[in-house]
Amino acid sequence: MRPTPHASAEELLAWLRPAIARACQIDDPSSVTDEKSLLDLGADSLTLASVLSLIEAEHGIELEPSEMLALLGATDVRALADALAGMIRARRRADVDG
Amino acid sequence: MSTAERHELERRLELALHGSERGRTIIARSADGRRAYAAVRAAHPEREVFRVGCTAKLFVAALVERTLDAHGIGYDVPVRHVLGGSSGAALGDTSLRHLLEHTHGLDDAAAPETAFRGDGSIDVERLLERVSGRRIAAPGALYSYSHVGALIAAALVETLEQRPFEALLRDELLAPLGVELRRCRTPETFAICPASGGALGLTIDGLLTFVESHRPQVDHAMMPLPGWHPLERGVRLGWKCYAGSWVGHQSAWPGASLLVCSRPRDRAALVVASEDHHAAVVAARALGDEMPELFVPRLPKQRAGAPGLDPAPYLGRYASAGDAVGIEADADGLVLAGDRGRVRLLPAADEIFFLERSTRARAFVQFIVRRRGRFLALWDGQRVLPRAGSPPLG
Repeated sequence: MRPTPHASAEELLAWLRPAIARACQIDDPSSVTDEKSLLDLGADSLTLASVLSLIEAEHGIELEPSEMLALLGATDVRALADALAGMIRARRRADVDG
Repeated sequence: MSTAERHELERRLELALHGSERGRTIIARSADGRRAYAAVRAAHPEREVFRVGCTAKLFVAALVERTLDAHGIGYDVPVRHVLGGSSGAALGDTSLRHLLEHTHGLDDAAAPETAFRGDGSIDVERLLERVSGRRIAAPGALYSYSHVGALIAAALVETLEQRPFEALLRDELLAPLGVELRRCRTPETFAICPASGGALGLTIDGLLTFVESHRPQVDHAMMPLPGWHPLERGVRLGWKCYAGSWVGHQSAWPGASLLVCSRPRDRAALVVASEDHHAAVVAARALGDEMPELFVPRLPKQRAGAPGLDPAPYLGRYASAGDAVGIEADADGLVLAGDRGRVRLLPAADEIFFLERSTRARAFVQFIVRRRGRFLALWDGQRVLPRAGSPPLG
């Protein structure tokens, strides 16, 4: 686990695209465009659990059920990155607020 | 259900698919007998026919229950007592419970095609020949998903009832429910298979009716899975068990993915079918916030890197009749070597390792059954691969 204190949506996108490609068995990561949905990428339950676990490991966080649902419900890869960025920001604020 | 509830379900399905719809996708649910449907590319969702796929195993379970009741036989009677002949050599003390709960230990990973006789019944002798002498575990030792259990269970029902499975399914199980057996021509087969479904199809309403009619036998304990799974918890007499007292099954054949679930305590039932997408993923996106107990995955705890990981307990070859992987080590940790090359293993807790790149066969492995300093098997969420050269587990 390595913390990513400056994880912007763009940085997260750059990390998510190849991670999703690997989880969904897609040979060409460039085909995982921002507008692709996880449904169109052929994700099944195990694939999604694998992606969520990778997110937890990469960002050193433990996702709440509501956060997992928000990520699973993301309409496309960009929305997934945006939702994840929002979660990381919220956690950072909560840490600062103590 | 009310018009407002139906509109809400339609709104949820639309949001879940978000422009990804090409073929038919349908959600059907009921509570206390009140039904609601939402669909894309289907004007009359209740009448749409889908291949049942692996959910056919639920029909086998229901027919077994009915037949055992009629013949006064228990789930724990060795199957060889019914099948007779030379079945004992292949089956040993395997019981119907073992067959339905995937704890029979038979190694059918070479995926034998269903063997039928001229009259349409299952050629159980040929089936047993294929698995004879190949075991991954002793009967009852642990769960490993396969088709062979449902096939032998269906053959046992045929033996007791002296009629082919298809006729029993059509006349004794579905007809009393007012459900018509349908046949879907597929590129592979026009036969009906008790394990993979084959050409067996049902309408969405027919599936819902069957699931609503199911009452699990609560006096039977659930057989837990041998390791981690994000959604499934175990199996009871053919029905997969999920959190929140849901039971059901999934099928993921190309072009026909299906999720059927029942929660008998409040007469809730759910059927999700899709030609494009994995039904469970559609359902999680559409209904996850309403039914989190069914759709929020349980994730393993993370483990920080693998410094100091002793590779020795993991290393070796794990194999069944149709699948084999090697576990190797390099300076950065463990590597899984299979037919399609080498993939790094990323450690989580409880001896779970995610594949850095998923394969068609698996997204993770978990090492299970540790004896004398090494693991004797590998679990991938579906099946168990025993360590090559080890005696059957259990």
